Amino acid sequence: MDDISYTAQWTAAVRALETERSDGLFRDEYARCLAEPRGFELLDRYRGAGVSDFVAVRTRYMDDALTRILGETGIRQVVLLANGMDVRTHRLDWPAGTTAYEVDHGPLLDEKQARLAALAAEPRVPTVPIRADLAGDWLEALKSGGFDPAERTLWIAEGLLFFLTEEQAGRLLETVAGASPPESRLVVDMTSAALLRHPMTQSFLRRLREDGTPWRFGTDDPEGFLTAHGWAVEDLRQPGEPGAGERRWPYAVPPREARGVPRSWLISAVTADRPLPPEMATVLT
Amino acid sequence: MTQQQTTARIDQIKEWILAKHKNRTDVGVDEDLVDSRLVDSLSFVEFVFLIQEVSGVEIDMDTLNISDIRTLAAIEKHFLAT
Repeated sequence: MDDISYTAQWTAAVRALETERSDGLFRDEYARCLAEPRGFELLDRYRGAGVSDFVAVRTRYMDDALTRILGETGIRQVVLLANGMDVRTHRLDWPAGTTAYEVDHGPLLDEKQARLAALAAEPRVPTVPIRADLAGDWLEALKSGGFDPAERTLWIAEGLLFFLTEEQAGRLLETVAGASPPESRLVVDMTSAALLRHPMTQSFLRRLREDGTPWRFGTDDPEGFLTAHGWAVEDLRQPGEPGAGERRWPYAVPPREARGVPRSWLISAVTADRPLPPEMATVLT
Repeated sequence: MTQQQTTARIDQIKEWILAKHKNRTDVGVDEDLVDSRLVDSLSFVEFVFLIQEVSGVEIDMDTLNISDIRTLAAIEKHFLAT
């Protein structure tokens, strides 16, 4: 498995420990098995930047957002982008008629499937693995797998954007928006730009760099970044706020107006109203 | 300012740290708070607000030199020794 897959084992290790807490935010019975072989070692290596607490809070925020959005909107097509060792397909209750697509590297998807099969674990939603590189033409692969770009979609991009450059992150959001009819949804997390340059995060960031999985992108204006790439924010929270692990998060929530603060953003967004293409606008006027 | 008042103020900062780390009973004046993970990137903001409150000195987090708050001795020297 390649390096990004080791970070998938790391977040699985976080989910395993959270599952074992009496006040855990969720349960993931498969996480301990999926965290092997390196997850727990990396947990120790990346300790100290609050990332474990963040992954726990983020997992629950995204679980809740997924369930809420499917319930409220009637969307029945879900794409999990580079979701690694995440097993929402096996953990959550899914409305009848939903199809989930998991887009990730082939070796990772195969490994996850093999481990889950060994546990006799069955998905609770029809799940289509799409073996593709998000840096390549993954959308064509997704369509070939049965994804319908004319159908409203819920996209989940968890723990993904900070591994991309700003340009790649923007292009990914635009690709996703371009394959989404109006009233589609996106659930995503980002880090603040200040986190990437803050002196207190440098040892953590250096370890990620040394391991070949650097964090590259963050923004202090998540609303603006999403708007610029086709999405309008419906819900934005920082960890520790109500609905985002308010009793679990062990830190104070920094006020939004404080500058230069390392922070994380948990976001639910809807496709932005796009201006009509010029030829359509001409016809209508 | 007398020595005694300065000491009381640094104790407020030490108490804040100890309250967050129940396994600790003391913090050395020269102990590196960052390396020992007594203060991390997430508690940092609250920590800086605390130093502001205790010292009455306004701190710009964008320009703060981290070495000024790395140890209790440094905090005392840069923010409390007025």
